Amino acid sequence: MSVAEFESAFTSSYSSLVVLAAASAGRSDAEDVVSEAAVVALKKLDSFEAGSNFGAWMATIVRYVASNTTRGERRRRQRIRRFALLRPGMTRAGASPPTGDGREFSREIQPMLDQLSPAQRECLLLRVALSHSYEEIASITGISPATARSHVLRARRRVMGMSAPGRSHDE
Amino acid sequence: MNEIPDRVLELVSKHLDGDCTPDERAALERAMEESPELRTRVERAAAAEREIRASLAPAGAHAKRSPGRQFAVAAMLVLAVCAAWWFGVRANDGSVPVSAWEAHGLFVIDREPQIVCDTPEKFLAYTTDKFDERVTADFDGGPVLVGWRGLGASYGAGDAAGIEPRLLLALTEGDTPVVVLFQSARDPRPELDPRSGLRMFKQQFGGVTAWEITPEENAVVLPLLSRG
Repeated sequence: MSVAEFESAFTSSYSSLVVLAAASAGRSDAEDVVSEAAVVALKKLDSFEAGSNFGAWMATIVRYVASNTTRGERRRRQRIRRFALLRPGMTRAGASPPTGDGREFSREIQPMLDQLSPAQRECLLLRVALSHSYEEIASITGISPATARSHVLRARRRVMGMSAPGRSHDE
Repeated sequence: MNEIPDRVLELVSKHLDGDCTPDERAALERAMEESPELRTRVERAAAAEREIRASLAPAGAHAKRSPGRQFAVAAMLVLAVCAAWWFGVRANDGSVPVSAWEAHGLFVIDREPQIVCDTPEKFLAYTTDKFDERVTADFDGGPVLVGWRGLGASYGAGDAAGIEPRLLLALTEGDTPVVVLFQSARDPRPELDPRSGLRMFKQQFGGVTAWEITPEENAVVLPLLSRG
């Protein structure tokens, strides 16, 4: 794949990748995660097999970078907490965890998403934010359309705080 | 009511997608009439999804762009891995030539700069806000520092954990150095293609590490910066 082909494919997939990143790393870091993933992908262009699923390939890299970002963010928050213990009352903006451009899922939404499995979260966000069909969700997440649909249904059931009949907890 | 039959869940899901037929809509309405709690939970879910949609609106809007718009976005998207250095960034009008980025292996999503520091006061406010560190700049008549969001440098991916890079491009009348400011637990050295002939200079301002990447023998911008 040439850089020009990458650019075209990446641009087409960009929105979906941002949503996937938001599902893994949180809303505020999503664009940065996708940018980082693009840099990684460019370095690994040779490993991309022509004719294979570009979106799924990029999604894998996005998840990897998001995972690193999340771990790094966790460590950073721990450092900040330790630092804050040394300096009680510290409230300066620069000492706060990074918030990107300020767009975050709200305090009501984030716990709802946190209770979902990663796959449920990805499928639900792709469905809700981008109105993707189950075939499109399947293509980018590398699962079957039926599984994507099942993830969305289960995610919605959990978001509603409900369970399947006869079960106290819907897996 | 804590349980929801699969049949009703299917209707709710279709309702949330806006895909209900009139018959399905009527069936869901009947179910909600029988269970006010179901109605409450459906409405809560709908509100949550509206909020999710709004929060991810830029990503969603991007997907709905016309092919022409997509092409324009693609034109703005710059991807390169350290090629030639020379390019011409002269103006500070917010429009940076695409070629300006190709030499650096840098990548930008949004062409609109989020920060332009053309006075010492603006730069001080920027560093204080972003880094909790007072770094001042004396670039009277010299470079202007412009920063973008969504910008990653080629060194970023492997060191994403624990790093908060903030990249500012210094616009000058002559050669254009790149200045990278970041706070980091570690201090990774940016990767540059050795064939580029570029030189890197590092300076520490309290908790802020600044790298200047320049074709010059000496740093151009770093000497203008100091800790306030």
